[in-house]
Amino acid sequence: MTEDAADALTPEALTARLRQAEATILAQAREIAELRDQLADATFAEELRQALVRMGAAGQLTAPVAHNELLDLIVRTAAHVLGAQAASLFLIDHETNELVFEVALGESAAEARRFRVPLGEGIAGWVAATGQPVAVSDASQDPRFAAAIARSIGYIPRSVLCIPLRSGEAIIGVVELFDKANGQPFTAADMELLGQFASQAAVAIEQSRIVRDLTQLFSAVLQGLLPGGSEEEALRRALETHAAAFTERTVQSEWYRETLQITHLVSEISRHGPEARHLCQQILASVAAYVRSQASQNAAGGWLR
Amino acid sequence: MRPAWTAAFTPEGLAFPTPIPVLDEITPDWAWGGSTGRGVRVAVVDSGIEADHPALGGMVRGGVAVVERGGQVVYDDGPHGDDFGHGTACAGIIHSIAPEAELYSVKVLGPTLSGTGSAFAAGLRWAIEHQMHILNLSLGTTKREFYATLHELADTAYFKNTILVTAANNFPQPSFPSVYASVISVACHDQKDPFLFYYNPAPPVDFGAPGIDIQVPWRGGGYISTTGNSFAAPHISGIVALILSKHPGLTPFQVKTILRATAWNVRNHQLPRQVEGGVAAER
Repeated sequence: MTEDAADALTPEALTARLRQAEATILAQAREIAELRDQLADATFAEELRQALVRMGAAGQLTAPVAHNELLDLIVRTAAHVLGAQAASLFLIDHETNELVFEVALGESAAEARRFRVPLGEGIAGWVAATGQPVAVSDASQDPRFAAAIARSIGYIPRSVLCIPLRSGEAIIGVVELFDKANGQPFTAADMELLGQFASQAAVAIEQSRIVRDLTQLFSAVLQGLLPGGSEEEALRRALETHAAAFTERTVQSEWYRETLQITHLVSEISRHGPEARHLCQQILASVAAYVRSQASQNAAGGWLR
Repeated sequence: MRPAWTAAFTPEGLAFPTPIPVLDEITPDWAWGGSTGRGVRVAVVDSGIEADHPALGGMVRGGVAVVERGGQVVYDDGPHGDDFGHGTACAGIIHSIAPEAELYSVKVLGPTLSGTGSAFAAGLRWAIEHQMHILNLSLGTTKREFYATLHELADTAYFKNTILVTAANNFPQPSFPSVYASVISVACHDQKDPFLFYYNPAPPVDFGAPGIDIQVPWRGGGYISTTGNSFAAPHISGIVALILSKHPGLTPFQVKTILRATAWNVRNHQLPRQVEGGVAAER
Protein backbone atom coordinates (compact mmCIF):
# COMPACT_ATOMS: atom_id res chain seq x y z
CA MET A 1 0.00 0.00 0.00
CA THR A 2 1.45 3.38 -0.96
CA GLU A 3 1.52 6.32 1.44
CA ASP A 4 -1.05 8.17 -0.65
CA ALA A 5 -3.44 5.24 -0.55
CA ALA A 6 -3.02 4.97 3.20
CA ASP A 7 -3.76 8.70 3.54
CA ALA A 8 -6.88 8.21 1.48
CA LEU A 9 -8.23 5.75 4.03
CA THR A 10 -8.00 8.01 7.10
CA PRO A 11 -11.39 8.89 8.63
CA GLU A 12 -10.87 12.58 7.72
CA ALA A 13 -10.11 11.78 4.10
CA LEU A 14 -13.04 9.39 3.87
CA THR A 15 -15.40 11.95 5.38
CA ALA A 16 -14.16 14.57 2.96
CA ARG A 17 -14.66 12.22 0.01
CA LEU A 18 -18.11 11.30 1.28
CA ARG A 19 -19.04 15.00 1.50
CA GLN A 20 -17.72 15.53 -2.00
CA ALA A 21 -19.71 12.57 -3.32
CA GLU A 22 -22.84 13.84 -1.58
CA ALA A 23 -22.35 17.27 -3.09
CA THR A 24 -21.89 15.74 -6.54
CA ILE A 25 -25.03 13.64 -6.15
CA LEU A 26 -26.97 16.69 -5.00
CA ALA A 27 -25.71 18.77 -7.90
CA GLN A 28 -26.60 15.99 -10.34
CA ALA A 29 -30.04 15.59 -8.84
CA ARG A 30 -30.59 19.30 -9.26
CA GLU A 31 -29.38 19.15 -12.83
CA ILE A 32 -31.65 16.21 -13.59
CA ALA A 33 -34.62 18.04 -12.09
CA GLU A 34 -33.81 21.12 -14.17
CA LEU A 35 -33.44 19.08 -17.33
CA ARG A 36 -36.71 17.32 -16.59
CA ASP A 37 -38.45 20.68 -16.18
CA GLN A 38 -36.97 21.98 -19.40
CA LEU A 39 -38.00 18.80 -21.18
CA ALA A 40 -41.51 19.06 -19.80
CA ASP A 41 -41.73 22.66 -20.97
CA ALA A 42 -40.37 21.79 -24.40
CA THR A 43 -42.74 18.83 -24.76
CA PHE A 44 -45.64 20.95 -23.67
CA ALA A 45 -44.78 23.74 -26.07
CA GLU A 46 -44.49 21.26 -28.93
CA GLU A 47 -47.74 19.48 -28.06
CA LEU A 48 -49.54 22.76 -27.70
CA ARG A 49 -48.18 23.94 -31.03
CA GLN A 50 -49.30 20.75 -32.77
CA ALA A 51 -52.69 20.87 -31.12
CA LEU A 52 -53.20 24.44 -32.22
CA VAL A 53 -52.13 23.70 -35.77
CA ARG A 54 -54.68 20.92 -35.88
CA MET A 55 -57.31 23.12 -34.27
CA GLY A 56 -56.64 25.79 -36.86
CA ALA A 57 -57.14 23.14 -39.52
CA ALA A 58 -60.32 21.93 -37.82
CA GLY A 59 -61.70 25.45 -37.98
CA GLN A 60 -61.33 25.62 -41.77
CA LEU A 61 -64.71 24.77 -43.12
CA THR A 62 -66.16 21.56 -41.88
CA ALA A 63 -69.21 21.40 -39.69
CA PRO A 64 -70.30 19.64 -36.47
CA VAL A 65 -68.03 16.60 -36.77
CA ALA A 66 -64.91 18.74 -36.76
CA HIS A 67 -66.30 20.75 -33.87
CA ASN A 68 -66.66 17.66 -31.69
CA GLU A 69 -63.25 16.41 -32.74
CA LEU A 70 -61.80 19.73 -31.71
CA LEU A 71 -63.34 19.47 -28.22
CA ASP A 72 -62.06 15.94 -27.94
CA LEU A 73 -58.59 17.02 -28.97
CA ILE A 74 -58.54 19.84 -26.43
CA VAL A 75 -59.43 17.50 -23.57
CA ARG A 76 -56.96 14.87 -24.72
CA THR A 77 -54.07 17.33 -25.05
CA ALA A 78 -54.74 18.97 -21.69
CA ALA A 79 -54.99 15.61 -19.90
CA HIS A 80 -51.87 14.28 -21.56
CA VAL A 81 -49.73 17.34 -20.88
CA LEU A 82 -50.57 17.43 -17.17
CA GLY A 83 -50.62 13.65 -16.77
CA ALA A 84 -54.27 13.51 -15.67
CA GLN A 85 -56.11 10.18 -15.37
CA ALA A 86 -59.38 11.58 -16.63
CA ALA A 87 -60.81 14.81 -17.94
CA SER A 88 -64.02 16.42 -19.10
CA LEU A 89 -65.19 19.49 -20.94
CA PHE A 90 -68.45 21.38 -20.45
CA LEU A 91 -69.77 24.25 -22.54
CA ILE A 92 -72.19 26.78 -21.07
CA ASP A 93 -75.72 27.15 -22.37
CA HIS A 94 -76.43 30.73 -21.33
CA GLU A 95 -80.10 30.43 -22.20
CA THR A 96 -80.81 27.69 -19.68
CA ASN A 97 -77.91 28.48 -17.30
CA GLU A 98 -76.62 24.95 -17.63
CA LEU A 99 -73.30 23.30 -18.22
CA VAL A 100 -73.59 20.99 -21.21
CA PHE A 101 -71.31 18.01 -20.92
CA GLU A 102 -69.47 17.59 -24.22
CA VAL A 103 -66.45 15.35 -23.84
CA ALA A 104 -65.01 13.01 -21.24
CA LEU A 105 -61.78 11.14 -21.24
CA GLY A 106 -60.80 8.27 -18.99
CA GLU A 107 -61.16 4.55 -18.55
CA SER A 108 -64.84 4.67 -17.70
CA ALA A 109 -65.82 7.93 -19.38
CA ALA A 110 -69.50 8.41 -20.05
CA GLU A 111 -70.90 7.03 -23.27
CA ALA A 112 -73.83 9.39 -23.35
CA ARG A 113 -72.84 12.85 -24.50
CA ARG A 114 -74.45 16.19 -23.84
CA PHE A 115 -76.04 15.62 -20.44
CA ARG A 116 -76.66 18.86 -18.59
CA VAL A 117 -76.09 20.06 -15.06
CA PRO A 118 -77.28 23.35 -13.58
CA LEU A 119 -74.62 26.04 -13.64
CA GLY A 120 -74.71 26.21 -9.87
CA GLU A 121 -73.24 22.78 -9.23
CA GLY A 122 -70.09 22.72 -7.15
CA ILE A 123 -66.66 23.64 -8.34
CA ALA A 124 -67.38 23.63 -12.09
CA GLY A 125 -70.31 25.96 -11.44
CA TRP A 126 -68.14 28.35 -9.46
CA VAL A 127 -65.49 28.38 -12.18
CA ALA A 128 -68.09 28.93 -14.90
CA ALA A 129 -69.75 31.73 -12.94
CA THR A 130 -66.61 33.60 -11.93
CA GLY A 131 -64.09 32.70 -14.60
CA GLN A 132 -61.58 31.84 -11.89
CA PRO A 133 -59.77 28.48 -11.83
CA VAL A 134 -59.86 26.24 -8.77
CA ALA A 135 -57.66 23.31 -7.79
CA VAL A 136 -59.06 20.89 -5.21
CA SER A 137 -57.19 17.95 -3.76
CA ASP A 138 -59.97 16.03 -2.01
CA ALA A 139 -63.06 16.51 -4.10
CA SER A 140 -64.84 13.49 -2.65
CA GLN A 141 -65.63 15.67 0.37
CA ASP A 142 -68.28 17.44 -1.68
CA PRO A 143 -70.89 14.75 -2.38
CA ARG A 144 -73.06 16.73 -4.79
CA PHE A 145 -70.04 17.76 -6.79
CA ALA A 146 -68.67 14.22 -6.73
CA ALA A 147 -71.94 12.87 -8.13
CA ALA A 148 -71.81 15.24 -11.10
CA ILE A 149 -68.25 14.22 -11.87
CA ALA A 150 -68.94 10.52 -11.44
CA ARG A 151 -71.63 10.89 -14.06
CA SER A 152 -69.11 12.14 -16.61
CA ILE A 153 -66.00 10.08 -15.91
CA GLY A 154 -67.50 7.08 -14.13
CA TYR A 155 -65.73 7.37 -10.78
CA ILE A 156 -65.11 9.83 -7.95
CA PRO A 157 -61.66 11.40 -8.28
CA ARG A 158 -59.42 12.63 -5.48
CA SER A 159 -58.00 15.74 -7.07
CA VAL A 160 -59.50 18.15 -9.57
CA LEU A 161 -58.20 21.10 -11.53
CA CYS A 162 -60.97 23.17 -13.06
CA ILE A 163 -60.23 25.97 -15.54
CA PRO A 164 -62.60 28.31 -17.38
CA LEU A 165 -62.68 28.52 -21.17
CA ARG A 166 -62.65 32.22 -21.90
CA SER A 167 -63.38 33.91 -25.18
CA GLY A 168 -62.77 37.61 -24.74
CA GLU A 169 -64.85 38.67 -21.75
CA ALA A 170 -67.25 35.75 -22.03
CA ILE A 171 -66.81 32.40 -20.33
CA ILE A 172 -67.90 29.70 -22.75
CA GLY A 173 -67.17 26.57 -20.71
CA VAL A 174 -64.89 24.74 -18.30
CA VAL A 175 -62.24 22.06 -18.59
CA GLU A 176 -61.73 19.72 -15.66
CA LEU A 177 -58.76 17.44 -15.13
CA PHE A 178 -58.84 14.64 -12.57
CA ASP A 179 -56.13 12.77 -10.61
CA LYS A 180 -52.53 13.23 -11.64
CA ALA A 181 -50.65 10.07 -12.52
CA ASN A 182 -48.26 10.39 -9.57
CA GLY A 183 -51.10 10.77 -7.07
CA GLN A 184 -49.99 14.31 -6.19
CA PRO A 185 -52.44 17.21 -6.05
CA PHE A 186 -52.54 19.63 -8.98
CA THR A 187 -50.09 22.46 -8.41
CA ALA A 188 -50.20 26.19 -8.97
CA ALA A 189 -47.92 25.58 -11.97
CA ASP A 190 -50.48 23.16 -13.44
CA MET A 191 -53.12 25.83 -12.99
CA GLU A 192 -51.08 28.36 -14.92
CA LEU A 193 -50.19 25.92 -17.69
CA LEU A 194 -53.75 24.72 -18.19
CA GLY A 195 -54.92 28.33 -18.03
CA GLN A 196 -52.70 29.27 -20.95
CA PHE A 197 -53.86 26.26 -22.89
CA ALA A 198 -57.53 26.95 -22.14
CA SER A 199 -57.39 30.50 -23.43
CA GLN A 200 -56.09 29.25 -26.80
CA ALA A 201 -58.60 26.42 -26.80
CA ALA A 202 -61.49 28.79 -26.18
CA VAL A 203 -60.54 30.85 -29.22
CA ALA A 204 -60.45 27.70 -31.34
CA ILE A 205 -63.86 26.59 -30.01
CA GLU A 206 -65.41 29.96 -30.78
CA GLN A 207 -63.96 29.92 -34.29
CA SER A 208 -65.20 26.44 -34.91
CA ARG A 209 -68.63 27.23 -33.46
CA ILE A 210 -69.01 30.25 -35.72
CA VAL A 211 -68.11 28.17 -38.75
CA ARG A 212 -70.57 25.47 -37.70
CA ASP A 213 -73.41 27.92 -37.06
CA LEU A 214 -72.86 29.87 -40.24
CA THR A 215 -72.70 26.64 -42.21
CA GLN A 216 -76.05 25.64 -40.72
CA LEU A 217 -77.52 29.04 -41.45
CA PHE A 218 -76.34 29.11 -45.06
CA SER A 219 -77.53 25.59 -45.73
CA ALA A 220 -80.93 26.57 -44.36
CA VAL A 221 -80.96 29.65 -46.63
CA LEU A 222 -79.99 27.53 -49.62
CA GLN A 223 -82.72 25.01 -48.88
CA GLY A 224 -85.19 27.85 -48.73
CA LEU A 225 -84.11 29.04 -52.17
CA LEU A 226 -85.58 25.93 -53.77
CA PRO A 227 -88.37 26.79 -56.26
CA GLY A 228 -91.52 28.17 -54.70
CA GLY A 229 -90.05 30.41 -52.03
CA SER A 230 -88.70 33.94 -52.18
CA GLU A 231 -85.19 34.87 -51.09
CA GLU A 232 -86.35 37.04 -48.21
CA GLU A 233 -88.78 34.42 -47.03
CA ALA A 234 -85.92 31.91 -46.98
CA LEU A 235 -83.68 34.20 -44.96
CA ARG A 236 -86.48 34.97 -42.55
CA ARG A 237 -87.26 31.28 -42.03
CA ALA A 238 -83.58 30.41 -41.54
CA LEU A 239 -83.10 33.19 -39.03
CA GLU A 240 -86.20 32.13 -37.16
CA THR A 241 -84.94 28.56 -36.94
CA HIS A 242 -81.55 29.62 -35.68
CA ALA A 243 -82.65 32.76 -33.89
CA ALA A 244 -82.12 31.55 -30.35
CA ALA A 245 -78.55 30.45 -30.86
CA PHE A 246 -77.76 33.54 -32.87
CA THR A 247 -79.28 36.01 -30.46
CA GLU A 248 -77.33 34.49 -27.62
CA ARG A 249 -74.04 34.59 -29.45
CA THR A 250 -74.44 37.92 -31.17
CA VAL A 251 -74.90 39.45 -27.74
CA GLN A 252 -71.73 37.81 -26.47
CA SER A 253 -69.42 37.96 -29.42
CA GLU A 254 -68.19 40.88 -31.46
CA TRP A 255 -67.19 38.32 -34.03
CA TYR A 256 -70.82 37.29 -34.55
CA ARG A 257 -72.10 40.83 -34.62
CA GLU A 258 -69.60 41.82 -37.28
CA THR A 259 -70.19 38.70 -39.35
CA LEU A 260 -73.92 39.33 -39.27
CA GLN A 261 -73.41 42.96 -40.26
CA ILE A 262 -71.46 41.82 -43.30
CA THR A 263 -74.26 39.38 -44.15
CA HIS A 264 -76.81 42.19 -43.89
CA LEU A 265 -74.77 44.48 -46.14
CA VAL A 266 -74.31 41.80 -48.78
CA SER A 267 -77.99 41.03 -48.61
CA GLU A 268 -78.90 44.72 -49.04
CA ILE A 269 -76.54 45.24 -51.98
CA SER A 270 -77.78 42.05 -53.66
CA ARG A 271 -81.27 43.47 -53.79
CA HIS A 272 -80.10 46.32 -56.06
CA GLY A 273 -79.86 44.25 -59.21
CA PRO A 274 -77.15 42.32 -61.05
CA GLU A 275 -74.70 45.26 -61.40
CA ALA A 276 -74.60 45.94 -57.67
CA ARG A 277 -74.22 42.23 -57.02
CA HIS A 278 -71.36 41.99 -59.46
CA LEU A 279 -69.54 44.98 -57.94
CA CYS A 280 -70.02 43.63 -54.43
CA GLN A 281 -68.71 40.25 -55.47
CA GLN A 282 -65.59 41.80 -57.04
CA ILE A 283 -64.83 43.95 -54.00
CA LEU A 284 -65.30 41.06 -51.59
CA ALA A 285 -63.14 38.81 -53.78
CA SER A 286 -60.33 41.39 -53.69
CA VAL A 287 -60.62 41.78 -49.93
CA ALA A 288 -60.58 38.02 -49.47
CA ALA A 289 -57.49 37.68 -51.69
CA TYR A 290 -55.73 40.40 -49.69
CA VAL A 291 -56.66 38.82 -46.35
CA ARG A 292 -55.46 35.42 -47.57
CA SER A 293 -52.09 36.83 -48.61
CA GLN A 294 -51.69 38.57 -45.24
CA ALA A 295 -52.68 35.41 -43.42
CA SER A 296 -50.06 33.31 -45.20
CA GLN A 297 -47.39 35.93 -44.45
CA ASN A 298 -48.29 35.86 -40.77
CA ALA A 299 -48.71 32.10 -40.62
CA ALA A 300 -45.59 31.65 -38.49
CA GLY A 301 -46.94 33.96 -35.78
CA GLY A 302 -50.60 33.22 -36.32
CA TRP A 303 -52.74 33.58 -33.26
CA LEU A 304 -50.20 31.82 -31.09
CA ARG A 305 -49.22 35.09 -29.45
CA MET B 1 -44.93 28.94 -12.55
CA ARG B 2 -48.07 29.68 -10.48
CA PRO B 3 -51.28 31.71 -10.53
CA ALA B 4 -50.85 35.21 -11.90
CA TRP B 5 -49.39 37.87 -9.61
CA THR B 6 -47.86 35.34 -7.22
CA ALA B 7 -44.31 35.54 -8.63
CA ALA B 8 -43.63 38.50 -6.34
CA PHE B 9 -43.97 36.18 -3.37
CA THR B 10 -41.56 33.41 -4.39
CA PRO B 11 -38.08 33.19 -2.82
CA GLU B 12 -36.64 34.63 -6.06
CA GLY B 13 -39.22 37.37 -6.48
CA LEU B 14 -39.68 38.57 -2.92
CA ALA B 15 -38.64 42.19 -2.34
CA PHE B 16 -37.35 43.46 1.00
CA PRO B 17 -38.48 47.10 1.09
CA THR B 18 -36.76 49.64 3.29
CA PRO B 19 -38.36 49.90 6.72
CA ILE B 20 -39.54 53.35 7.77
CA PRO B 21 -38.16 53.82 11.30
CA VAL B 22 -41.28 55.40 12.76
CA LEU B 23 -43.42 52.66 11.26
CA ASP B 24 -41.12 50.08 12.86
CA GLU B 25 -42.93 50.79 16.10
CA ILE B 26 -45.97 49.23 14.55
CA THR B 27 -45.53 45.57 15.43
CA PRO B 28 -47.92 42.68 14.89
CA ASP B 29 -48.41 42.64 18.64
CA TRP B 30 -49.35 46.33 18.67
CA ALA B 31 -51.53 45.90 15.59
CA TRP B 32 -53.60 42.88 16.57
CA GLY B 33 -52.12 41.22 19.67
CA GLY B 34 -54.93 39.94 21.90
CA SER B 35 -57.63 40.87 19.38
CA THR B 36 -60.41 38.46 18.43
CA GLY B 37 -62.19 40.63 15.87
CA ARG B 38 -65.04 41.37 18.30
CA GLY B 39 -67.33 44.15 17.12
CA VAL B 40 -66.16 44.04 13.51
CA ARG B 41 -68.62 43.21 10.71
CA VAL B 42 -67.18 41.34 7.74
CA ALA B 43 -69.27 40.80 4.61
CA VAL B 44 -68.32 37.86 2.42
CA VAL B 45 -69.53 38.81 -1.06
CA ASP B 46 -69.57 35.44 -2.73
CA SER B 47 -71.65 32.30 -3.37
CA GLY B 48 -73.37 32.47 0.03
CA ILE B 49 -72.28 30.99 3.36
CA GLU B 50 -73.40 27.72 4.89
CA ALA B 51 -74.18 29.37 8.22
CA ASP B 52 -74.36 26.17 10.30
CA HIS B 53 -70.99 24.84 9.15
CA PRO B 54 -69.06 23.84 12.30
CA ALA B 55 -66.02 25.80 11.09
CA LEU B 56 -67.92 29.09 11.45
CA GLY B 57 -68.75 28.85 15.16
CA GLY B 58 -72.22 30.33 14.64
CA MET B 59 -70.77 33.74 13.77
CA VAL B 60 -72.88 34.29 10.64
CA ARG B 61 -75.15 37.12 11.75
CA GLY B 62 -77.07 37.94 8.60
CA GLY B 63 -76.85 38.88 4.99
CA VAL B 64 -78.73 39.14 1.76
CA ALA B 65 -79.06 37.23 -1.48
CA VAL B 66 -79.05 39.21 -4.71
CA VAL B 67 -81.50 37.50 -7.06
CA GLU B 68 -82.88 38.17 -10.51
CA ARG B 69 -86.65 38.51 -10.82
CA GLY B 70 -88.22 39.42 -14.13
CA GLY B 71 -84.93 40.74 -15.46
CA GLN B 72 -84.46 42.93 -12.38
CA VAL B 73 -81.77 42.51 -9.75
CA VAL B 74 -83.47 42.50 -6.34
CA TYR B 75 -82.52 41.79 -2.71
CA ASP B 76 -83.89 38.75 -0.91
CA ASP B 77 -83.26 38.86 2.83
CA GLY B 78 -84.58 35.37 3.54
CA PRO B 79 -82.12 32.68 4.59
CA HIS B 80 -79.84 31.23 1.90
CA GLY B 81 -77.12 28.62 1.63
CA ASP B 82 -73.98 28.25 -0.43
CA ASP B 83 -74.41 26.83 -3.93
CA PHE B 84 -70.74 26.25 -4.52
CA GLY B 85 -68.83 26.07 -1.22
CA HIS B 86 -66.55 28.97 -2.09
CA GLY B 87 -68.19 31.55 0.17
CA THR B 88 -68.17 29.09 3.08
CA ALA B 89 -64.45 28.54 2.49
CA CYS B 90 -63.72 32.27 2.62
CA ALA B 91 -65.89 32.75 5.73
CA GLY B 92 -64.12 29.82 7.39
CA ILE B 93 -60.69 31.32 6.80
CA ILE B 94 -61.78 34.69 8.21
CA HIS B 95 -63.34 33.02 11.26
CA SER B 96 -60.21 30.94 11.90
CA ILE B 97 -58.22 34.18 12.21
CA ALA B 98 -60.82 36.51 13.77
CA PRO B 99 -63.09 34.14 15.75
CA GLU B 100 -65.31 36.86 17.19
CA ALA B 101 -65.78 38.91 14.02
CA GLU B 102 -69.39 38.96 12.81
CA LEU B 103 -69.86 37.39 9.40
CA TYR B 104 -72.45 38.53 6.86
CA SER B 105 -73.20 36.61 3.69
CA VAL B 106 -73.83 38.69 0.58
CA LYS B 107 -74.76 36.12 -2.03
CA VAL B 108 -74.13 37.35 -5.55
CA LEU B 109 -73.47 34.03 -7.23
CA GLY B 110 -75.84 31.18 -7.85
CA PRO B 111 -77.28 28.87 -10.45
CA THR B 112 -79.50 31.56 -11.94
CA LEU B 113 -77.10 34.46 -11.65
CA SER B 114 -74.07 33.04 -13.42
CA GLY B 115 -71.94 35.79 -11.98
CA THR B 116 -73.48 38.85 -13.57
CA GLY B 117 -71.65 42.08 -12.93
CA SER B 118 -74.87 43.85 -11.97
CA ALA B 119 -75.58 41.33 -9.19
CA PHE B 120 -72.03 41.79 -7.96
CA ALA B 121 -72.39 45.58 -7.94
CA ALA B 122 -75.75 45.30 -6.14
CA GLY B 123 -74.14 43.09 -3.49
CA LEU B 124 -71.32 45.58 -2.95
CA ARG B 125 -73.81 48.43 -2.64
CA TRP B 126 -75.82 46.52 -0.03
CA ALA B 127 -72.73 45.76 2.05
CA ILE B 128 -71.47 49.34 1.92
CA GLU B 129 -74.88 50.75 2.83
CA HIS B 130 -75.27 48.28 5.70
CA GLN B 131 -72.19 49.59 7.54
CA MET B 132 -69.95 46.61 7.05
CA HIS B 133 -66.38 47.29 8.18
CA ILE B 134 -64.74 44.87 5.76
CA LEU B 135 -65.86 43.38 2.44
CA ASN B 136 -64.11 40.19 1.42
CA LEU B 137 -64.20 40.03 -2.37
CA SER B 138 -62.67 36.76 -3.51
CA LEU B 139 -64.16 37.43 -6.92
CA GLY B 140 -64.34 40.19 -9.47
CA THR B 141 -65.28 40.81 -13.04
CA THR B 142 -63.11 41.28 -16.12
CA LYS B 143 -65.97 42.98 -17.98
CA ARG B 144 -65.01 46.55 -18.77
CA GLU B 145 -68.63 47.66 -18.84
CA PHE B 146 -68.61 47.41 -15.03
CA TYR B 147 -65.39 49.38 -14.63
CA ALA B 148 -67.05 52.69 -13.79
CA THR B 149 -69.84 51.31 -11.59
CA LEU B 150 -67.43 49.29 -9.49
CA HIS B 151 -64.93 52.13 -9.35
CA GLU B 152 -67.58 54.43 -7.94
CA LEU B 153 -68.58 51.80 -5.37
CA ALA B 154 -64.95 51.25 -4.38
CA ASP B 155 -64.51 55.00 -3.87
CA THR B 156 -67.75 55.22 -1.87
CA ALA B 157 -66.47 52.42 0.35
CA TYR B 158 -63.11 54.12 0.74
CA PHE B 159 -64.68 57.39 1.86
CA LYS B 160 -66.88 55.52 4.36
CA ASN B 161 -63.88 53.71 5.86
CA THR B 162 -65.11 50.38 4.55
CA ILE B 163 -62.14 48.17 3.74
CA LEU B 164 -62.37 46.24 0.47
CA VAL B 165 -60.10 43.19 0.46
CA THR B 166 -59.99 41.68 -3.02
CA ALA B 167 -58.42 38.60 -4.57
CA ALA B 168 -56.22 39.28 -7.59
CA ASN B 169 -57.34 37.54 -10.76
CA ASN B 170 -55.76 34.10 -11.12
CA PHE B 171 -55.12 34.89 -14.78
CA PRO B 172 -52.77 37.69 -15.79
CA GLN B 173 -55.51 40.10 -16.82
CA PRO B 174 -57.09 42.96 -14.87
CA SER B 175 -60.24 42.22 -12.90
CA PHE B 176 -62.35 44.80 -11.17
CA PRO B 177 -62.25 45.97 -8.44
CA SER B 178 -58.95 44.24 -7.59
CA VAL B 179 -56.86 46.63 -9.73
CA TYR B 180 -58.21 49.82 -8.14
CA ALA B 181 -55.88 51.80 -5.87
CA SER B 182 -58.49 52.11 -3.13
CA VAL B 183 -58.71 48.39 -2.38
CA ILE B 184 -56.37 45.91 -0.72
CA SER B 185 -55.46 43.41 -3.43
CA VAL B 186 -54.16 39.98 -2.44
CA ALA B 187 -52.51 37.07 -4.27
CA CYS B 188 -51.31 33.79 -2.75
CA HIS B 189 -47.96 32.49 -1.57
CA ASP B 190 -47.15 28.89 -0.70
CA GLN B 191 -46.53 29.32 3.04
CA LYS B 192 -49.00 27.80 5.49
CA ASP B 193 -48.89 30.06 8.53
CA PRO B 194 -52.14 32.05 8.40
CA PHE B 195 -50.48 35.13 9.91
CA LEU B 196 -47.59 35.17 7.49
CA PHE B 197 -48.15 37.71 4.74
CA TYR B 198 -45.86 39.58 2.39
CA TYR B 199 -45.98 43.16 1.18
CA ASN B 200 -45.55 43.77 -2.56
CA PRO B 201 -44.04 47.16 -3.42
CA ALA B 202 -45.07 46.73 -7.10
CA PRO B 203 -48.85 47.20 -7.39
CA PRO B 204 -51.63 46.46 -8.32
CA VAL B 205 -51.26 43.50 -5.95
CA ASP B 206 -50.49 44.75 -2.42
CA PHE B 207 -50.07 41.62 -0.31
CA GLY B 208 -49.40 37.88 -0.51
CA ALA B 209 -51.09 35.45 1.90
CA PRO B 210 -51.56 31.65 2.07
CA GLY B 211 -53.63 30.17 -0.76
CA ILE B 212 -51.81 27.17 -2.19
CA ASP B 213 -53.14 23.75 -1.23
CA ILE B 214 -54.76 24.86 1.99
CA GLN B 215 -57.60 23.15 3.83
CA VAL B 216 -60.86 25.09 3.92
CA PRO B 217 -64.45 24.37 4.98
CA TRP B 218 -66.78 23.57 2.09
CA ARG B 219 -70.52 23.12 1.68
CA GLY B 220 -72.15 20.08 3.21
CA GLY B 221 -70.24 20.51 6.48
CA GLY B 222 -67.04 19.15 4.96
CA TYR B 223 -63.57 20.40 4.13
CA ILE B 224 -61.45 20.37 0.99
CA SER B 225 -57.88 21.33 0.14
CA THR B 226 -57.70 23.93 -2.54
CA THR B 227 -55.55 26.50 -4.35
CA GLY B 228 -56.23 30.01 -5.61
CA ASN B 229 -55.88 33.73 -4.91
CA SER B 230 -59.48 33.48 -3.67
CA PHE B 231 -58.26 31.91 -0.46
CA ALA B 232 -55.44 34.39 0.15
CA ALA B 233 -57.78 37.40 0.39
CA PRO B 234 -59.77 36.11 3.42
CA HIS B 235 -56.52 35.69 5.38
CA ILE B 236 -55.93 39.42 5.02
CA SER B 237 -59.63 40.15 5.74
CA GLY B 238 -59.25 38.21 8.99
CA ILE B 239 -56.14 40.11 10.01
CA VAL B 240 -57.79 43.45 9.12
CA ALA B 241 -60.75 42.42 11.32
CA LEU B 242 -58.34 41.88 14.22
CA ILE B 243 -56.70 45.26 13.59
CA LEU B 244 -60.01 47.15 13.33
CA SER B 245 -61.32 45.46 16.45
CA LYS B 246 -58.31 46.63 18.43
CA HIS B 247 -58.10 50.05 16.75
CA PRO B 248 -61.62 51.10 15.75
CA GLY B 249 -62.07 53.89 13.22
CA LEU B 250 -58.91 53.37 11.17
CA THR B 251 -59.13 54.52 7.55
CA PRO B 252 -58.29 52.29 4.58
CA PHE B 253 -54.91 53.97 4.02
CA GLN B 254 -54.02 53.60 7.70
CA VAL B 255 -54.91 49.92 7.55
CA LYS B 256 -52.74 49.48 4.46
CA THR B 257 -49.86 51.21 6.22
CA ILE B 258 -50.20 48.92 9.24
CA LEU B 259 -50.28 45.86 7.00
CA ARG B 260 -47.15 47.04 5.22
CA ALA B 261 -45.34 47.66 8.51
CA THR B 262 -46.27 44.22 9.84
CA ALA B 263 -45.61 42.23 6.65
CA TRP B 264 -43.04 39.46 7.02
CA ASN B 265 -40.65 40.74 4.35
CA VAL B 266 -40.68 44.30 5.70
CA ARG B 267 -39.95 43.22 9.28
CA ASN B 268 -37.55 40.37 8.67
CA HIS B 269 -35.63 41.05 5.47
CA GLN B 270 -35.18 37.34 4.93
CA LEU B 271 -37.27 34.40 3.82
CA PRO B 272 -39.26 32.62 6.54
CA ARG B 273 -37.54 29.64 8.10
CA GLN B 274 -39.20 26.39 7.04
CA VAL B 275 -40.18 24.19 9.95
CA GLU B 276 -42.17 21.00 9.99
CA GLY B 277 -45.76 21.58 9.07
CA GLY B 278 -45.27 25.20 8.05
CA VAL B 279 -43.01 28.03 9.10
CA ALA B 280 -41.95 29.66 12.32
CA ALA B 281 -43.64 32.99 11.79
CA GLU B 282 -43.39 36.01 13.96
CA ARG B 283 -46.80 36.79 15.39
